Amino acid sequence: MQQEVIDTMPLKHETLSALTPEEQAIYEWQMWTPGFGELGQQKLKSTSVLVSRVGGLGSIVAYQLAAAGIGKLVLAHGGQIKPSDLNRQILMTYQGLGQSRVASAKERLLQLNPRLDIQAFDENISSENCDKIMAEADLVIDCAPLFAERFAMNDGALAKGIPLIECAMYELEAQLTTIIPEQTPCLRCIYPETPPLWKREFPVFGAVSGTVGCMAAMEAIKLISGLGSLLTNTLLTIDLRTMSTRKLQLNKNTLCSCQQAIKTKGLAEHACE
Amino acid sequence: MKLTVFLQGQLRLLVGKDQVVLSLTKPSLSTALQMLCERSFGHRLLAKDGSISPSILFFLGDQQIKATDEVFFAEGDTLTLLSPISGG
Repeated sequence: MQQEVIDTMPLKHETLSALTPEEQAIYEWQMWTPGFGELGQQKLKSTSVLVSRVGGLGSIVAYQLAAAGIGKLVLAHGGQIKPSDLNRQILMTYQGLGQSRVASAKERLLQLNPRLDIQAFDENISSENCDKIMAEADLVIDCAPLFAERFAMNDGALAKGIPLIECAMYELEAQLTTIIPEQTPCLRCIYPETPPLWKREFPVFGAVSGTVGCMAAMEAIKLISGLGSLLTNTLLTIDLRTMSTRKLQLNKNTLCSCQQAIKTKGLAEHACE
Repeated sequence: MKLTVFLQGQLRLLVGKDQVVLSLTKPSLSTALQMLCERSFGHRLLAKDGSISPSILFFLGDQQIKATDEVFFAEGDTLTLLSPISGG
């Protein structure tokens, strides 16, 4: 079956922020990339990305986006730094044990990029706080471990009509896919219910979360700037035990609430014509 | 016919291997699923009501299929079972 390839993000910005001479100097090497250039850099600067959480995956995603010159990061992660965070959560420090995770993440990101606008929430996403946390986001990157959080982000992104990049890891495996509302399967299409097998704590190396975190950040940069093609309708699976990858083609679930909503909306628009 | 079934995600760790080879009596998905469910890890594939769990994803080659689809395998086909994973 031929899958639709979606190349660009539906960027909402009517105006793009110009680059300062300092930004020109910092981002020079990536602006040499064909198809990206100064316009791509301006799009990054004009975009706000929600990263939830900033643990093993989200630390890397946020760090790479901060390095790349994203304009604003919205971070959501509750709790204090624990010893078991330190094998993979690179925005946390040994000295910071017992202190706020999201505060540590904010401090580390601003050391790298002091121009970055950061909105930090010391709480995990839920269906109750999702609207508030997602309010200023143009794009969501889901790095959360619990399906309740992931479904809340999925539902929030669909309601706002903004893209969602889903990344996951387990042992030496990683997965990545990009969800575009009304165009691709949503998270509930892929997983209709909270998986009974899933456990909150699981085996993983920091190098695994780092690998998929970098790929998720690159997917976000591509989505924002219009560079390359995206993992839409596609689940990229990575097996670091054998260094092999697969691109699995996903289907929309006609029984999913997102597809029912599209059908209802289509009928309503048809009735209005 | 022989069918190679790849296991990804938590299923791989639970089963202890990344693939199993089935000798199918009939080259159909329903036969393959029945044979998988009879294995020691078979209960991991099932929902509480005894049906195949909707949390397990199935792929014929690289194309997603549903457990309820009427699929007949050809020589060289592969089936992949993928259980969900998450961030953290």
